[in-house]
Amino acid sequence: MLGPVVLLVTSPGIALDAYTPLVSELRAGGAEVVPVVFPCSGSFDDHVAQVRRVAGSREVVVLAHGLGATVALNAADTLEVERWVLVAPVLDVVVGPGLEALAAAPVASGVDLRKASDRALEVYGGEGARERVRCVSAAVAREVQGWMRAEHVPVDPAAVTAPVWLSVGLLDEVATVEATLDTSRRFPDRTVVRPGVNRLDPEDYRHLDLVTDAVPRRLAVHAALEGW
Amino acid sequence: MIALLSAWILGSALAVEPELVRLSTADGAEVVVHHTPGAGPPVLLVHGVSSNHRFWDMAPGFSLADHLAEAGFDVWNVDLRSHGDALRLASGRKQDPDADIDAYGEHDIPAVVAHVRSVTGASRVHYVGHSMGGMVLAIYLASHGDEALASAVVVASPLDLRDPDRIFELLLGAGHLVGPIRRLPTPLGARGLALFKRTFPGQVDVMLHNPENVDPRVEGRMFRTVVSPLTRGEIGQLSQMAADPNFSGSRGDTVFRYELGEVTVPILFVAGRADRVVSPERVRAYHDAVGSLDKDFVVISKANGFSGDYGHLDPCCAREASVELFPRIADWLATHPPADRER
Repeated sequence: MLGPVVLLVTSPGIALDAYTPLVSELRAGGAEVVPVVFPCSGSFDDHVAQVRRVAGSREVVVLAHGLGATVALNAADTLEVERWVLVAPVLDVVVGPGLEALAAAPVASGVDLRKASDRALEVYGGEGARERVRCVSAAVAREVQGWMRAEHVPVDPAAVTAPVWLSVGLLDEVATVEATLDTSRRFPDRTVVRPGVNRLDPEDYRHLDLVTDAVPRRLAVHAALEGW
Repeated sequence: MIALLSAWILGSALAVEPELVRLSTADGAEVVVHHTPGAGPPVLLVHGVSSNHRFWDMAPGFSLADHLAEAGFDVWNVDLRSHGDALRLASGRKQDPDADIDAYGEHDIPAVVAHVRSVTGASRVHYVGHSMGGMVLAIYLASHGDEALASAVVVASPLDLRDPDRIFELLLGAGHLVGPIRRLPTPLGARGLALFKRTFPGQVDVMLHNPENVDPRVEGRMFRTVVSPLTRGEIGQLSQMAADPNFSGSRGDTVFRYELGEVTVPILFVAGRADRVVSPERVRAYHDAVGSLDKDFVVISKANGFSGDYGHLDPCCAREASVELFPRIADWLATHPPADRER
């Protein structure tokens, strides 16, 4: 039996390698996986257009991570979506000293996260994250910095009619619980899963962990393949 | 580490013990306040559920009470009724275990505030509350307003349990099983945790604090000293959140998150990134509910430049709390003097 068509919207700045186990499990479950990987160029609107082009007119399950979820949600009005599986989606921002530093960082021709400082990488998940990040275009970086300064991310959860499943990690410093959960309550049909110690999982999870570590990854795969 | 432990040992020998003040409340209960006099403005320190005044004064080097006293504040470290030195009335009889959290905010805190204002002549006091101590503040504000407060600091306090973790769904749902048990012997459980750390099923101790931030010897002392029995009244009112995730009055007539829009007192909200009891979005929701224009929200995390991701009990006893949290609290109080509120 064929599984769904899963539009995998990766997060700008995260290498495709980080999603390899996720893709493997989706395919093993019978899904046709259509990845969307953003280049280190172009604007946020270019990324949204890319999602629309890749999705076409097919009905899809959208599995989107981090900033990729922000992009995908901005394309929602033209997508045929059976259900949304949002892993650590960036829906809003509450700025603390860590993000203040990123909001003020100079952006030249782009941002190569592989060369980021240890403190900046702490936001993604610490030193281990360096292997899994890549570049973000200058235009997107400046757009995101603007969101941080305004403490507002341009998504409209209330307009999303298909069911939404989302996972958040206690230790996530990108899609923080304090920014994500409150805004996510505006999705009309939403289910939240909180992988971590309080769910009796082995540990709590950071931004990248939610797609790379086995427990949260399998939760997302199940939601994409089977629903909830 | 050695320096800190040495300070602890030496400090223990030289520490000036606070004066114990026993106060009666309007409903016939008693609270005990540990007073360290200072020339500066008065500040109340209020502990959380199943805790006591030792949370804010565990030992030299791990004492917000000492830190604020050294900074010149007039420190009033509270044992709410049925906690710590207020477990019993002056007569020796144990206090009513069915008193709920409403009683703490409607009677205990007003009694302390009235006494402090009376003996010091201060028109306003500062308030620092941890966990339930911050919930008590919300009750106090809803029932008495903020006229008597100069500023407040809310550390790891929730006003709702929306989107609960599985563990909280289980705990809240089990609240009704308490039944005839007047007080849960949580100090015994805490002593067990102190002995058998990391071996309890479900990582119970890890849920309460982040072991990466707390030295093992301090951790043991923390579990042995800062825990008081959990009362039936507290369990009853908290268990209401199984049916309605908003923290409400025990009579069901007040949802505290909706009662703070007219609050103008400056409040600093502090959350721990690794707080598995009160995760940061709950503290943020409390922050958002307060009408004050002078408020701030900070998450103690490595990404924000702190030494670690703080857990729920870490504000008491983390290795670096005295250098990265206590000064921040003191600074908030100092930069919001009572006189500012008179203008």
